[in-house]
Amino acid sequence: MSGTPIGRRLPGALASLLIGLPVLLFIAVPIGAMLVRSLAVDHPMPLAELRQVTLEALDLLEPARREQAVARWSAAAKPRDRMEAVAAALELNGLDVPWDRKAPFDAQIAAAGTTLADLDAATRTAVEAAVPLAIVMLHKRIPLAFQVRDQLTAAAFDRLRSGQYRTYGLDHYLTVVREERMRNAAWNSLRLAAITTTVTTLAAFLLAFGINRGAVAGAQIARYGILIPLVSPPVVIATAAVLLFGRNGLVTKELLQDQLGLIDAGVSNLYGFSGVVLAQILSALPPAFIILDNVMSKQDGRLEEAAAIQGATFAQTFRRVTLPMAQPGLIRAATLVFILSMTDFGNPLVIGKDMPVLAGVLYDEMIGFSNTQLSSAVAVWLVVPAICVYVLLSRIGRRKRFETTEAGPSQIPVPGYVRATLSALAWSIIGFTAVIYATIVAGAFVKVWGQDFSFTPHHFTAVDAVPGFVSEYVGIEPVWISLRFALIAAPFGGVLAVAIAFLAERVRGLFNEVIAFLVLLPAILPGVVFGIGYIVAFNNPLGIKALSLNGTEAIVILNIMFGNVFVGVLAGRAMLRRLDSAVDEAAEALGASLLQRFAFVTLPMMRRAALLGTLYIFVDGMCTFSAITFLVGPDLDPASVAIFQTASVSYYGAACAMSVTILIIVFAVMGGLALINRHGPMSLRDRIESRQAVAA
Amino acid sequence: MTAIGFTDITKRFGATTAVDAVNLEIAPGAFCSLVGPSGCGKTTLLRIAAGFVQPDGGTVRLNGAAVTNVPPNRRDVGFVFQSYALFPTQTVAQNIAFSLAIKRRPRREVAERVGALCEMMRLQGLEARYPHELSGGQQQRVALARALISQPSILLLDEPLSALDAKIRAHLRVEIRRVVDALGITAVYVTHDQEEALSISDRVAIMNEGRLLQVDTPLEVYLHPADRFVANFVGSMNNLPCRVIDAESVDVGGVAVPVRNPGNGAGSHGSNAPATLSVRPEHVTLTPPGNGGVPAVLSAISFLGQTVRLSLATLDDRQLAADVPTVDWIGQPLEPGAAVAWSARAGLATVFPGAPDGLSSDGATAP
Repeated sequence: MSGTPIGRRLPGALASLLIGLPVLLFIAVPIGAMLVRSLAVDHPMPLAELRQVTLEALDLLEPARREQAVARWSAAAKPRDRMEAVAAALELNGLDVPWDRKAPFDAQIAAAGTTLADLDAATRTAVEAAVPLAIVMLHKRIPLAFQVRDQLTAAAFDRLRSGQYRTYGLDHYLTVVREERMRNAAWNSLRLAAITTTVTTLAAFLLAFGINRGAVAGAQIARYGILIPLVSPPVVIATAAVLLFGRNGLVTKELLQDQLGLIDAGVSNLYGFSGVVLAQILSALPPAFIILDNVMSKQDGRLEEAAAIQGATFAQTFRRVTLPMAQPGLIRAATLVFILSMTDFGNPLVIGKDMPVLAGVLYDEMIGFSNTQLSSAVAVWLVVPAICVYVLLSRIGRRKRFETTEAGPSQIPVPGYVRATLSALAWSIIGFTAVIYATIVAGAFVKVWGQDFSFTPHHFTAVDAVPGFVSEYVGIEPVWISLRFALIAAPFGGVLAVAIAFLAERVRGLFNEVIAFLVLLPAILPGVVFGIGYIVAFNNPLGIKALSLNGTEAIVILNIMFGNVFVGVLAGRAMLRRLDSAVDEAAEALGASLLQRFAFVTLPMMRRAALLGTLYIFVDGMCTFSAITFLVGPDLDPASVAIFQTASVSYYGAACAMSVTILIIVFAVMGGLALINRHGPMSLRDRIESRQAVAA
Repeated sequence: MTAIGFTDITKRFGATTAVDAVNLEIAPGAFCSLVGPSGCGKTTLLRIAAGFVQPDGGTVRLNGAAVTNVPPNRRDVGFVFQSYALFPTQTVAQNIAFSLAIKRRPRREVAERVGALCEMMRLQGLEARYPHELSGGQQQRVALARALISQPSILLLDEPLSALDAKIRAHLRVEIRRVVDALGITAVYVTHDQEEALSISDRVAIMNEGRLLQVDTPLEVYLHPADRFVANFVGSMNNLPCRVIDAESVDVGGVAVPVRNPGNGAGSHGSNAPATLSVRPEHVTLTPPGNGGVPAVLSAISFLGQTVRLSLATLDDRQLAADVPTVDWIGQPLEPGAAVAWSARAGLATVFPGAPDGLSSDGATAP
């Protein structure tokens, strides 16, 4: 078998199929379904068609039952319903409705009666004959639909029940432009995004520059300090901001109002635009910093030295050399922050007061009205500006990356004032972050923030001893639910990631490249998009209700897994590119099958990538909520959603308690893994590799 | 007045001493190479001259003025980097014009000077290209042009050719020397390739482990190495154990061999002190046995094209390489196994104190 060309490729093809189909199913299908749904426009059926559909459904009943049902419904019709049926019957017979349809119902009912009386005998008969059917058509479609459900296709059932038909067009996209509340929200979103992007990108760049050029005191610690908010549960920063700067905030009320009498906290607080900006900047800073830190660490310091030796001062070098080289990275970072800000509905909901944003509209439409069509269109709208910005800015620069492998920072010392400024910036940001986390910890143990600052451990326990609050959230139960999800999704996701990386780098082929690309989509699309996609795709897949996943644990776990598998894939591919493929070929020459090669040769070597992928899925599973919030049902309460909901109703104690628990778990896991990495067998191999590299 | 003066320069990085009390003076207009193995401190010394690195001790003088605390952008030097360090976001013309653009020179002057340098470095037609669109050799010429446009009196080059392949290297190093001569500037050229250093320099400075071992003309360094390391770093060298007879001869296997004594204590230990006899293969002369040469056995004959390398085995089982020009070898009746005797050309064998442990005799230094 393995002698023939097909035989050699068969195992690879099978593996690709086995792994590729789930990827297609759980990444491509939801995104595609969402896009399709965003174009679906429902219109109320015209009366004639409505009548037709109703007649067809009635025909499905046995004659006896049909007569019975129609008579019953007709007799039980209320006056108002009857009046509307009369109007419909008139229209169906080609007559105009002579009374004012906007008049009070009493007047309309009276008018209907007189209209009928004024008709000539033949017409009146025809109209009155149509009334029973009209009653069913207008008001009893739903019971009728459920009666004949087994005899209808799912689409026909929906059509009968809703009385609407579907066309495809850009109506929902245009709603954003047409409706004033949407335009208003969009304008707020753009304003927010513009300011957040500018400030965050600038700050992240200065931090990355300072840390990589040795201009920030304690650079390595500073780096960790800046990145800590990455592993935060949702709306931690917004919640802390409210606790500190809200109407009952520690700083605004206790300090500035009560102690110093400087302000009235009810008026001057951080709710609204400024609060959201602050929260968004602090949340977006770590990811922006990662991009720019990566860029700055790979910049060749020799270029700055070359500029200096030719007479350029620090400022001239920065402007003419450092900044232009960082441009591609700046564009990437700015685009990311822009997307993060546009798609953020958590912070505006917690601290945004009455300021509507587009992402908030999306959330309301989904949660409040299950309007998947409009939400999908809005979700696409959220991403479009960012893509445009990215394309536009990319045209300006010339190359995508200016990296060098033998880089090292310039050894020319940074001027004193620059060093002082950047150190101050870095450490004040880190200090503020520390204050935020301290506030969250404090909030977890305080009875009622702003009113009763006494200590209580009961936000953590199952005893609801906090007066005045009625909530279904008791203790920190939701955290264990999240933990279960994360613990299931993470290891499967880690192995899947490595498998995909293996297929892409060692088995190769177009199909595998497509799979690897698809896996990246959830990275560049906001979580909201991915969440809506899952609802649309799996609520009623292929019309088979039994396959529906909504509200189940499975859909949440799958969403977590496939939404974050890209990290492991990227790490795995990078690692495989550095490892010699000859090892794999040697194994093949010695007779190992594809599965054996993967399990015994590749997987052990890729432990670090698999661990990284697993860890990322775990952390994200514990903390992310923008996708999951749409997927959970009434029985399902992962902590991330619970935190968001408690925070948005000002039940801060519970939100803080759950946040603290999540933080402890996440840091414990990360710390544990770091220890294993340093002392385990893996590190021995690293040491060997590094020694070999030095000797070479 | 010296162009560049290092006085007692010391630099430490953590526990390592990269440069150890180096004293060096370079005359104006001279082309001086700093040569040594990786990690010997030559690049660090160069970067101290440029001002990228501050020394821990000692002073640097450029054209007579002390510049130890002067930042790089105020020193009148040009610098060519090993990796070229061209600005990737700027064209060739913009790269070259950088130092003039910084000083806001008028556009016409800039264009003129850029044109002149492009012509000198044979870069015509490439002015609008970006660095990543050039070959390695072209990039290096741009780097050179960029360093020279502001007419510095001193040019510092940090292994400028090591990223290029051998043919281009041989060609470009001559061109660098030519340009530097035409402009009359002082050049310090760092390289680990001793052949490169010997071929184009007025002076060669050999460094090892942070210390300066010898500064001399290429010929002197080659023929009269001052130090055991220098002797073995440059060219091929045989190293044999011997015993001191007096200041000018040593005892090798019972036979006296005339040596030159670089005066580092080989003769001061008194007679019979163990020492090392270092002689280059081409300076070993063969004599018929019994004529006063050291007896040995011819163990192998290797034809290397221009020379024939004879491997001689001494009576105490040491290997010795002797190179004979092929034209002189034709017609010699000697075969492997023959008994021969060897000596060294007058004044071209050197004695160093101490036994030659770790040094081999087949022309290479053991790791």
